[in-house]
Amino acid sequence: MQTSKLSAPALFGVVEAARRMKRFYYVKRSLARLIAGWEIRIPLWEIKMQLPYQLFVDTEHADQFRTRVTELRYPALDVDEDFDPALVRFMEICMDAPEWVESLAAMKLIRTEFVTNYRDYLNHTHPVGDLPSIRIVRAALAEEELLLAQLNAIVDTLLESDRQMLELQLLVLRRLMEATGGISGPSTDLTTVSIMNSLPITLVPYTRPHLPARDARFTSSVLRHEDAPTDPERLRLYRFRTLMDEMSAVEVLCGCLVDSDPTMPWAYFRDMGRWIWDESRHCEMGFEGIKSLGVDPFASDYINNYGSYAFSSPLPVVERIAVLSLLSETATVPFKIQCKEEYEETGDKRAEQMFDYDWADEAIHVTYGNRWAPVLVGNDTDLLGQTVDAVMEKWIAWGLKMAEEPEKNGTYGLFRYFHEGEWKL
Amino acid sequence: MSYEVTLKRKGISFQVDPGQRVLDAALAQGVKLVYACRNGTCKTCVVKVLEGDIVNDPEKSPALFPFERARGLRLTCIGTCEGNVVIDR
Repeated sequence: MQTSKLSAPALFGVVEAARRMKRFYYVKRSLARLIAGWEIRIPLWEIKMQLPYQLFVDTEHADQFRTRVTELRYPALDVDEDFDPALVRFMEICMDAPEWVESLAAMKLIRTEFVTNYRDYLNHTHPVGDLPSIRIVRAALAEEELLLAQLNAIVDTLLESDRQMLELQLLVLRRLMEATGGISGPSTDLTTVSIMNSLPITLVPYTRPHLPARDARFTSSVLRHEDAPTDPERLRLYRFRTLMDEMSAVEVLCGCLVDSDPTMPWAYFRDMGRWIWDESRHCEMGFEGIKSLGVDPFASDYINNYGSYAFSSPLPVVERIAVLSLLSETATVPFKIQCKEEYEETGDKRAEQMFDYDWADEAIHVTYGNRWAPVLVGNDTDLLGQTVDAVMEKWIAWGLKMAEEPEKNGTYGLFRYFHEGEWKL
Repeated sequence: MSYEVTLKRKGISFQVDPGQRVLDAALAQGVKLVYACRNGTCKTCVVKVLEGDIVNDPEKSPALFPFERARGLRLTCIGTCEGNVVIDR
């Protein structure tokens, strides 16, 4: 017996496709914020080095879903507004995890749900009419499965007691996720939110710390910058450490992402995702470089640097970005070039390539700073000029003050470089 | 005919042909100037012009803010010369 076309199950039309794509977009952008917030508070170094990639992929997916929503006759001005209140509440609850282990539970649940929801989407949408969405979702599914596998591997490394806490949080979050109707919906109303709020779960409003969490394996917890040594072997180690230090940039940017006005253009958050990931790759290159020298990356008295974060944490976002991008990244390009050229001359291909890629990335990051710093001050470029000048003075003063106690804080050669006017234009 | 670009603090000069980008000319003559993107967006190659001028088309270098132009800053990677120039390097 043939099935009548009229009795065939209905496929997603344009309205339903847009509705689901918008929910995917919202959860992905919120997930990126969740990771950014907890990246600062997670102490375990290997996890800290891996999560920024997850964050970056989430911003990429969010970007693709958002673009697709606008292709589905959805009003462009509404794409970044009017999200389902229950879904919004769910993501807030995920952010307000009691501790970092519970934040991993949220990440794991959301990724697991995405895998299911993507498959559901592929099975139910129009195979030809909605092919542009299918192409995006297929690719997202493949990446999501990899991210979930990576996350599961991270969870496997946790202590048994931490894994138990994580599983407990998973149970509660799963119930809440069900109350929202899941990532795909249906869309809900405020009644659902009140039901969600009545469910028993421990919440601690998220606060961004003034100092980032650090791995207990580090032998030092003081702020450290150091002048470059002259001995070639120590110099190589020192330079790898400067790369590993870029975790501090990851944390500064994660703080910016968390603190930024959510009404900033979406492209700003997309760029932040890439920037954060780049800095974590630099950190990883340094980490692996140190290991390649037969040195334990944790057994050092000055690689545990978080000075950039400590200085900029209380500043407005625009000042943090000005310090990171317009001042320090611009200023360190000559250092990257010098390292690359010296290793090229000595035939150390591995080290040369590390600094070569780092240099290329810095150009992107300075471009991001140039692109977004003006927007953060309302496109008032005179005000931006004043802001950059003011924060530079603050930054130099801070660095010089730190250098007054070299035993504790390091020598801060970079700040002398700024202070002595080489940089001053 | 070419123009002379002088790095005042380093005390060295190099020649730039009309229409040639300042950075390209410097690198071709073994003069090290800092750069990164080579397309006028990152501003790593920014220099302060003390005498003469490096021509930066605002259309091609939107990254340079008006306050920076007013301070005499120019980008060498996309800048050309129409006369001799002295820069603070």
